[in-house]
Amino acid sequence: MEYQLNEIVGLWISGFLTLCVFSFLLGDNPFYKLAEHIYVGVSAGYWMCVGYWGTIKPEIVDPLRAGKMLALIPLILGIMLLFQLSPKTAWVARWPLCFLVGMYAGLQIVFTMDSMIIEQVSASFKPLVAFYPAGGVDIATTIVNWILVFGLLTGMIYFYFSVPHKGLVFGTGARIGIWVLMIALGASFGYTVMARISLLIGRVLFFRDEFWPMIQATLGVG
Amino acid sequence: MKWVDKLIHLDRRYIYLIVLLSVVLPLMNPMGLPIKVTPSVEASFKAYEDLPKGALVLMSIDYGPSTAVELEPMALAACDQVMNHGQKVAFMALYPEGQALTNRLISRIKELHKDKEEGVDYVNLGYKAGNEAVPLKMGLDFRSQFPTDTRGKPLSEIPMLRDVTQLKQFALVATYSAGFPGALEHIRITASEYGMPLVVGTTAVQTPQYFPYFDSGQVVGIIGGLRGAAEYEKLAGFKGTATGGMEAQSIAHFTVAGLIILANILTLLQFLNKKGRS
Repeated sequence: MEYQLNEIVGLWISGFLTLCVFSFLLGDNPFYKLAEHIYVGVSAGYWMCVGYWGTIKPEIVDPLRAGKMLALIPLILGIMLLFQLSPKTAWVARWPLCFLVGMYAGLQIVFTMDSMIIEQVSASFKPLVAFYPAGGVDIATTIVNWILVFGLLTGMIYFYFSVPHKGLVFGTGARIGIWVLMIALGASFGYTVMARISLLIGRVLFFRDEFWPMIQATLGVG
Repeated sequence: MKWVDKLIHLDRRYIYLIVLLSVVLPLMNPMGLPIKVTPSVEASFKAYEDLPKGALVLMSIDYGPSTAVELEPMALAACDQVMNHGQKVAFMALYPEGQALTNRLISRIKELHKDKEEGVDYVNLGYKAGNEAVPLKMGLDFRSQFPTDTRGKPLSEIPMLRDVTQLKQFALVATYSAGFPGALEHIRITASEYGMPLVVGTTAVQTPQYFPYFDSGQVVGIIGGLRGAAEYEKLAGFKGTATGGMEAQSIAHFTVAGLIILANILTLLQFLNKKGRS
């Protein structure tokens, strides 16, 4: 495979910056700092471009050019947000912030209530004795449903602080609830380890499948 | 017991080295460990598989370069499946970096399916700012959110989207999501509000968070992390990077689990030793 000069330079920069970041494992050093600063600078530049071409141009510049004066409202609100850069004029930014908070709260209340509460609560009403469509008790599903309902109830008891966690229902229930939460957190931790290892795998694959073949092609070996 | 104290205070760089070796060695010498397919990934695969020829799929590429290693393989395997079955895919992004990563996906589609044409079989509608507001407005008027593709071509001039004005005209929506905005916005609005069948591909960190939505039937399938991607590649018969990565993943998991157990045993020994001395 032949490589263009820009591909070779790009792969070298990628490889070098990856090693710079990994060098942090040996302790803070100038190479890591260099990679960190490049990352912050590139991210800021990327976000500025995305902000302009993705939002300001299509939502404000283009409509205003087309004579749609309603676009002045978000423009003015956006400018007002910048006033919080100075403590003396920060009060001006409260108005667009109020608008943002109000709008998001409105959106979140409606959709969260529907999709996260009503649908989730109704999905937790499981039959405690499950049957196969053709008849007969489905023992596996029955056990799973019991575990789900039991875990849900004990987990909720643990977070119910209006009564002391004493006695059979609230005392034992809360203690079992802690175990349920610990099991859930353990599963979540397992997935987190998987995600972090995946990132390492990604960089190793980069060196194996992209960087090393480029070196081989450049040197004319392999 | 000096060796217990020595091991407990072992320089952590040795642990980094052990984990690195547990990842590098399986990648250099693949062993062919079996991959078992989970029901949520199978349901995702079936959601694509059951679509008729010519059906429109809306794929939301909601990840950046840092999570591409987990999400790109599953998105690519699904794209390959869609192309093989003669369906059409429109890409969008709620995530700012999604547009650039969609271009990477499209370049891979071009390599794999030279007979497929941009605008006829696939199109990149690009990134749209607005988080929840984007799927909300897509359901009311799709073209108000995406009047053109990323090249500035109006939807009315793109063959595969010429007649599309409503979100409901898509047969399936899929989001490959690394966080906010992404899967949750599509679950709340695209799936729950507009009743669209939704496949969620997500990073391993977030996967447990989305399983309740699969259990409740709000999403038709979940593909979780690199493992989910490897399962999907197996079902689709696609040779991607996830399958190879899973071996390294499995060995690294064994290593981490082994180190956790070892650390606990050493701590217990140290405790018993101190108790014995006192």
